[in-house]
Amino acid sequence: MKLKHYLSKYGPRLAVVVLIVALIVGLATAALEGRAGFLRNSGETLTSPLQKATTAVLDWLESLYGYIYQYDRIVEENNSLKAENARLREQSRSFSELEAENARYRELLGFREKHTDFDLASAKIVSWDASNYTSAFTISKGSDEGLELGDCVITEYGALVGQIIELGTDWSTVRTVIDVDMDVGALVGVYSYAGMVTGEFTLMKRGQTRLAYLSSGAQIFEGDEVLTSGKGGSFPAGLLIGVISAVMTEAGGQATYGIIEPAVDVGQLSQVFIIRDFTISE
Amino acid sequence: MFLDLINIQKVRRAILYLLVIALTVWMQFSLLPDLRILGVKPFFAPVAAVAIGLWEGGVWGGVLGLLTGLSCDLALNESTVTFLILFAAFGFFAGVLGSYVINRRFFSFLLLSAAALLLTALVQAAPFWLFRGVSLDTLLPIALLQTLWSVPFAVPAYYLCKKISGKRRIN
Repeated sequence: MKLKHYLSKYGPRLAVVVLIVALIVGLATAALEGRAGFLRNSGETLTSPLQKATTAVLDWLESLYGYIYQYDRIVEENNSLKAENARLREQSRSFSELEAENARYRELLGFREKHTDFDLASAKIVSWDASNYTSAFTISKGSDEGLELGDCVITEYGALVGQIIELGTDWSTVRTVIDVDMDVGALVGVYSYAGMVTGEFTLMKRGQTRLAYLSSGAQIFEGDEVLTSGKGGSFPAGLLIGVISAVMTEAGGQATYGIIEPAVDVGQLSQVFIIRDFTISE
Repeated sequence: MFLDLINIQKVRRAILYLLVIALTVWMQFSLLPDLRILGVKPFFAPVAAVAIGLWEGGVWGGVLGLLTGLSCDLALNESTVTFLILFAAFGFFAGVLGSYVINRRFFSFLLLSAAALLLTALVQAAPFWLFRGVSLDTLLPIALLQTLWSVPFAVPAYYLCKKISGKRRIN
């Protein structure tokens, strides 16, 4: 078959198939508005155990790597103690993991006492978004655990991590506070000036975000704490977003904006807490 | 008798290619989703579509590219049908080029894969340049690094698909 004939025979057919599938997927996505459809949900449900197993294996390999590295050093230092040392180190590692988790729950307990209106659920991060253009991750809980689209995600200290943007039965996708599509109403400084935390691509790549649309007359300074305003009802008021690390002026010189160093180091997270319900006080 | 109507060889190959796609998607989104080099993650899923297209022709490349793209669209939050269209086109044109224009040697495939990976990276970056005002100075290095980090993943895809197709290269 000649090239021209091949292209004219199969090209349009494939284009029609692609367009039909694209149309179906596009319409289904638009109709579902963040709720995972059957295909996505089935896919995630099927791969969820695999993903959890992968995370567990990767964690184990990481600890194994650390173990081998430290073990070699111990062998050089003292051969006779190596077995005992390795055993203790292994034990210590598992203890420190448990201790870290315990510490997170203890912090959370203190946080819970301060915010008795919060209905919290904990979840582990099972995978990170593979894209260079977003900052998001998948957690191990979904609608089966009572989570809802738009639920606020925090750390054990009550620092804002992000928001649920996609919901499956036993998984959810969380958009982090530094993502380009993130918008959160905020209050800043001792006089609680209103502003909006909006993601920006360049800042996202540096692990930061931006405080813009400040109320007229607002003055912000480096070191000012940025808290959620609670306006709109998506986020409870008073959650720590971060601290102003630099005050900048827009290109036109008319407006001021702040660069926020988030309170949470997004890349270091392993466990998060989801606020399923809270009392709205505006 | 019913089995006589089925081309077992074709079904076997189709199943194996579906496994290649599943493996690629699993590696991309579960095993190595946060593998950063200089702060940039690779995005190597398009090489599966290109490899299948090159070894099996445009129709197989197009259809299996569509499946690869659909899987990526479902797994990523940023797009809805972008990869579905893009990877189907990659698979189809890789097949057409492999059948009529270029040979199926490794370096031809590598160049073709690099082009597909670069195009994917540029398509991902384009909305940020067009609608968010992010400068090309920021976006292009990310797109180039993403392409560069993704190219090594083309090597196993080439030999895996070559083995499945059972074809020898055509000069």
